[in-house]
Amino acid sequence: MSGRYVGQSVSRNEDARLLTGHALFVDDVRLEGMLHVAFVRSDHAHAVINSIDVSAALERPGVVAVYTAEDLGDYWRPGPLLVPPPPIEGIVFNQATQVPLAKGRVRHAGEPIVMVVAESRYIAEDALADIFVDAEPLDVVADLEAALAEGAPIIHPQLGTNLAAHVVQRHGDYAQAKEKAAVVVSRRFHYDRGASAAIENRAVAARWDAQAQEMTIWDTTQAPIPIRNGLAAMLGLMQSQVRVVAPFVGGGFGPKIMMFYPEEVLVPWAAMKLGRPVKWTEDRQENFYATTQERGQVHDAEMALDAEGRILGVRDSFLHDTGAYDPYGLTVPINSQCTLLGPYDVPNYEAEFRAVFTNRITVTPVRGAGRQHGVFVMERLLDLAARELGLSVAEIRRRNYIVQDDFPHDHKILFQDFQPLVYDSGNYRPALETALELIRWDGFADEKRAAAAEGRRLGIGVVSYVEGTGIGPYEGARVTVEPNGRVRVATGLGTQGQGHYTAFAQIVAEALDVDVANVNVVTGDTREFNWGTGTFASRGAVVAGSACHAAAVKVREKVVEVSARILNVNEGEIELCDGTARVRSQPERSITLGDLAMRANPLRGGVTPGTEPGLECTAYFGPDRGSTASGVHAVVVEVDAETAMAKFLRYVVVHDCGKLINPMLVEGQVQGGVAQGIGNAWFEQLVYDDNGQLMNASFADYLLPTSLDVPDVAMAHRETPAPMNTLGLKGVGEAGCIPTGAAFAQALEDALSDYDLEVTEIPLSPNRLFDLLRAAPRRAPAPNPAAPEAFA
Amino acid sequence: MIVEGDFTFRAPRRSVWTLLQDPAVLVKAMPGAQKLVSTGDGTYEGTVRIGVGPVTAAQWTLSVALHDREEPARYMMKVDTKGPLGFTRGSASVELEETESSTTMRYRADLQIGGKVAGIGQRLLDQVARQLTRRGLEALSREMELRLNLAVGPASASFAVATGTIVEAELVEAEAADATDDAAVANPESGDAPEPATADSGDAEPAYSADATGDDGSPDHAAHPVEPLEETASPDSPLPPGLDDRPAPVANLDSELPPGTI
Repeated sequence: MSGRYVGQSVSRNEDARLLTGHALFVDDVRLEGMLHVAFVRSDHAHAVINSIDVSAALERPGVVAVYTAEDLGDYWRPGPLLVPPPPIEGIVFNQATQVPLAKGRVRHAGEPIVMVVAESRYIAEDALADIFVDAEPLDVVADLEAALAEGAPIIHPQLGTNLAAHVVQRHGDYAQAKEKAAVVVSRRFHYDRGASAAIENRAVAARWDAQAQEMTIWDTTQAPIPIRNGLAAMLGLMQSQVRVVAPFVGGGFGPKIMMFYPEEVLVPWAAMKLGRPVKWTEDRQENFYATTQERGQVHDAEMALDAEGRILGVRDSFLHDTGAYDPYGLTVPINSQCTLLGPYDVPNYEAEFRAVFTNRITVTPVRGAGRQHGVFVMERLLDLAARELGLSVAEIRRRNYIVQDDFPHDHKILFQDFQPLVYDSGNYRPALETALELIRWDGFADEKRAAAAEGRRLGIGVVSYVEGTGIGPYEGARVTVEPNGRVRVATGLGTQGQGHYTAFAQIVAEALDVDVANVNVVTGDTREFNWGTGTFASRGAVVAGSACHAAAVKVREKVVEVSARILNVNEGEIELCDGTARVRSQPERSITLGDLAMRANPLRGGVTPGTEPGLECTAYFGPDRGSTASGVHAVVVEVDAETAMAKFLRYVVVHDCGKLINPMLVEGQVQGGVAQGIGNAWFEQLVYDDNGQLMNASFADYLLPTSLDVPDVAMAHRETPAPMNTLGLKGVGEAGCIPTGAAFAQALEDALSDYDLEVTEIPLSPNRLFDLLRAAPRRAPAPNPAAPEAFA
Repeated sequence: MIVEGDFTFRAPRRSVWTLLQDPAVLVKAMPGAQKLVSTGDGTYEGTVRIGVGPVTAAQWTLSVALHDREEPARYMMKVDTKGPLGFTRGSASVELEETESSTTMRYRADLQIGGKVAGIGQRLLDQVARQLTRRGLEALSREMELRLNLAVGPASASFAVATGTIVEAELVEAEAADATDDAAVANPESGDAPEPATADSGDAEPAYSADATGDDGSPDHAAHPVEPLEETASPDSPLPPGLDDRPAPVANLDSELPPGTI
């Protein structure tokens, strides 16, 4: 599809509301008689609950109800397993999903134990201090390797082990490949936890309308339809009695997927039980404990190469920290395992992981969702191999890219959507060359030398990645032309700032030739659209966008059919232009889409049998497999070896997300992703002590990058259309943050090339880099001609 | 979190021992202490009220059990505090060594800190723990001098009650007040003498440490980088905010103490 509207940087339909404070967020929901909730959360990471005394809280004026696990009766049950284990031969998967309130035992600090419902949040919070939980601490599982050792304390006694999963995937024969290798590099890599840190914390509000027998739930979820379906089942209602609204949401990033968090499950229940609306809004400190996290993995990885630097095979074995529960199945570690392969031809791959329960907060996908871990391992191995082989980091990548006539490329392992990991399309080398040009690779040696003369140390890095995006199962959309000429589009997934109201409008505007501003999009309200899954895995634009397109095309057919009848011409004579249908050869014979909508819904006369009234259609899109986005990141950093401070000076992203719907939105996604990636690489780290206590649960100690730390990203778009959908779309939501750590690590090593320093862990921080520098011997002659001594 | 250090009393060991077992003294010396009751042989319970940094002041229950007592040389204790903002648990040891004219107390506490206070008080804990410890020890030292001056002398152990030592109590509060901090803590600055040395924990912001200690959410005095400890005197603390205002016996306390005391 080409481009009057699609492919243009159209300004955003949603911004007027967002920027003037008229967008509804869940915490804006205020209802007559609304009650407020606060939770007693566990201070211990692992403990047995002997008893809970809530009597004093119940006596506090304004407290309406206090609930423990026992009070929930049959409503207390572990949450659903959201993603079942993939059908991989020999897989071990031990299920332990989170519970609404801890019963008998707590498994991570911050796990909710008691729910207090009161006339105000102030009263509810004060009442928390009235409640006494007699908890007896147990030994804590805080280390991944120790968790699996003989005699480790067991977090889920019914499982008898802390092993959550064991998965082996392989193709080819790595051991054999290794025998022929000229070079073998192997290392241990660490990738530690981070928080999603959305601007808006989670919130849930619920109202049970006893007269209408209807439950309405406002929820900051990314997936309102699965939440509606699940809560209806739990509450004993029909799905049609439950309406879930995910209004504007201030950032999703993964943890707001259909988690069935305790608060999400309890607030509607309490509203029904008490007959009054109930609301809970997470506060920032709570967010560090109550919202899922991501990242802890330890990889032991090895790469075998021939003398020319071509990869013969890779072996990777890693431990994945799933935290106290594993409701999201294996999506994150499978992503790591698959994404490790990147844009490279790896003829032999042997990959194994163990997911491990620990007494830390539960891990589920966070933007990147494990992909950054795999990319970090692969890119670091390539850098190490390049050093051994005397190749440049760019050259070793050129030699290993999957070549363009090798698509679709089958890696012969299973991806997170249970489909074979097949790359549908791509063209990697030109992206690398463009990135090298934009970062000014060729002139960098001079630049580095000049900087060194001023006593400044610069380093450069360039890495590649592939991101599986736009997976199924499906999304749907309904497109309606209203009698006032405006077009309404409804789709089921939630929106968290991506610009869906604009991107989907552009797709529909293109099909109907109406102004984008005249297309009104609604997302995330199950009453508006009843079918779908949700916003995750960089799939919104690809899957829901394709459904919007399909529905708009069907409406267009109706428009042509009805207008041809009214204008008394053949359908082939009709063209759509600026909100009208007209006769191609006599443009003055026209009818507006609004009038047409009116005429298609007559109050008198007959409707032709076999037709439907109105100009409205619903369509669905479900791809067999996802579409493969890819890209290259390049970065220049400046490092002070004395203070171990580093700055990101330039950042380049060349990416391929197939056909662009709106370049401005794509650039926003990438810029924001890079900010998150930089945070992950250099600022953000959730630090736990040996007792499972999170030690930096505030923004005073958990550092986020600011606008001063994140450079404006220079971007180039490449468009390799996806063959799996009509519009050729691929996802871009996570692209910015996936390879950032790997690029940063390489650039740091370059800047510090006179030190014998290897970066094998992310996140780093000035403190950590300082330690690494102190431990690193100086190299005698720097191998890099641009290294500082060049000016001596 | 480890809190350790030493402190020298200009008094005979037995007097120090007695002092350390006297709940009436201890309650005075513990910043924020509201109550301290002996509940049996070597055990006692009490409440303290204290806050750290962003953690508002709250009441904590405290229980301490002394064990392995070797009068007057050493004892161990188990410490447990709980409050709405978290908990502290752990053990501590206290050793008293007599020298010619004084007694040196060596203390070491190994404490787990959990809950809200661990999550958001982290960067302050180290300093706060030291601050509270120091304040408590100074109060004890004054008490000791007072007793000696009054010729009360090595008290006749009429308080045979072994209560938790001040030190521990303080530590506990400190931690309770915010919690953990293992990393930096392990290296106690027990040894630095008067105020200037308190710039010890080079990492932290004085401003934070200052409010940090404010037990009862005491007003945040503008923090001096040099003397954060004194800034935060709580209402419960016997110490006035400025050294210069101290009553005479106290005023030269630091100078009288041998180097190496807190």
